Amino acid sequence: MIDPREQEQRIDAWLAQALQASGSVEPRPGLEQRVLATLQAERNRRPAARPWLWAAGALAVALLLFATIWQGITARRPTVDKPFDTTTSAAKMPATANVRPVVESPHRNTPPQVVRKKLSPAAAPKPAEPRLAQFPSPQPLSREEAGFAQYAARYPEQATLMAREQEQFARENRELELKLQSTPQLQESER
Amino acid sequence: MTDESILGREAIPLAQSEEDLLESLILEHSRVVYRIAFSVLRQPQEAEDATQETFLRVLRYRSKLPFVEDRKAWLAQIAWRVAIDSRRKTIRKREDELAETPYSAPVTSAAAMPDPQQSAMLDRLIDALPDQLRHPLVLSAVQEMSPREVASVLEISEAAVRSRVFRAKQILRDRILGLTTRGKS
Repeated sequence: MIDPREQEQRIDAWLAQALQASGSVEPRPGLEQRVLATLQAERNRRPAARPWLWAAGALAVALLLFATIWQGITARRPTVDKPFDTTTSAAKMPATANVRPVVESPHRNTPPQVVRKKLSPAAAPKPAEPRLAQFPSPQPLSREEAGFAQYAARYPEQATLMAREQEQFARENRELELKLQSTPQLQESER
Repeated sequence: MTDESILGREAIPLAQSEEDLLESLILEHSRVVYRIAFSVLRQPQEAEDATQETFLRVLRYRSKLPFVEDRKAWLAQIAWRVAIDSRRKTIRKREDELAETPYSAPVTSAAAMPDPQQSAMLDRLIDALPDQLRHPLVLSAVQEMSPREVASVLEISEAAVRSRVFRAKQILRDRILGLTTRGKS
C-alpha cells in the first residue's frame, strides 16, 4: 500500500516534468530562416501592390472631381423660365423643347432636379383638343339622317306618324321574340 | 498590464534600423514565440503558422518597435493573441471533431515525454481546465516566461498568476489521483 502523501508527491513530480516537457518543445530546425523568408516575401509583395493602389486611388479621385464639375455645370444650365401652362396649346410647343416642370427635391439643400426628355419629331405631342362635357361627343349627321331631318321639318305630322308606326313595329317584334324564347320551356313544363 | 506599460513613453535611441531590429527579434525570440503558440495550439504546424503570423504583425507595426521597452513581453503578447485567435478558428472549423477529442496528442511534447499516452492524457486534463486557470498554467510552463511576463501577457497581476497556477496544478493532481485510484479498483 502506497502512502497517499507519497503518491501526491509522485504525481506532482510527474506533473512538473510533463509541463516542463510541453513548455520546452523545439520547433523544426530552421524556424528563424523560414520566418525571415516569409517577411522578405511580404516586403517584396507590398511595393508591387502600391503603384496599382495609387493608380486606382488617382482614378477614383479624378472620377469624383469630374462628377462634381459635371453636376455643377448641369445645375447652372437655365431651365424653362415660365411655369408650365396647361392652358397653352401643346401644338404651339416645339417637339424638342418639351420641358417638364421643375421637380422639387425632398431634400432642402439639394438643388431642384430638372427632368428633360428629348422626343423625336414623330413622337411629338398631337395638338390637344378641348375636353367636352358630353360623351360620346356629338357627330355630324349622316346623309340618310340629314334627309330624314329635312323630311320631318317639311312634313311634321307624317313624320310623327311614321315614327309611331316604327316604334310600334319594333315593340311587336320584341314581344314576339320573347314569346318564341319562352315557348320551349312552356312545352317542357306541360310534359 | 496593458500595451502602455509595455510600450515606453519615449523612443529609445537606437542605432539599428527597423529592419535590423526586426531581424534580431526573430533570431532572439522566435523560439519563445513558437512555444507560446504551441502551448495554446498543441500542434507543431499550427504553432509554426502562428509564429509566422506573429512576426508578420510585427512587420506591420514595425514603426512602433523603437518605442517598445520590453520587446519580449510585447512579442509574447502578440503571439498569445495570434494563437488564441487561431485556436478559436480551428475550434469553429472542426467543432464536431473536437467534441470527441479536444486536441490530438501533441507530437513534440509526446516525444519529449517518457510515455506518449500519459502525455495525451495530461493534455486532455489541461484542456478541460477553465480558461482562467489553463492560460496561466500553460504560459508559465513555457521555459523562458517569467511570472511577470505571463502577467503582462494575460493582463493580470503576478500574484494572480501564481495563485491560478497553484489552483490549476491542484485540480490536475486531484484528477490524476482519481484516475489512478479508479484504475486500480
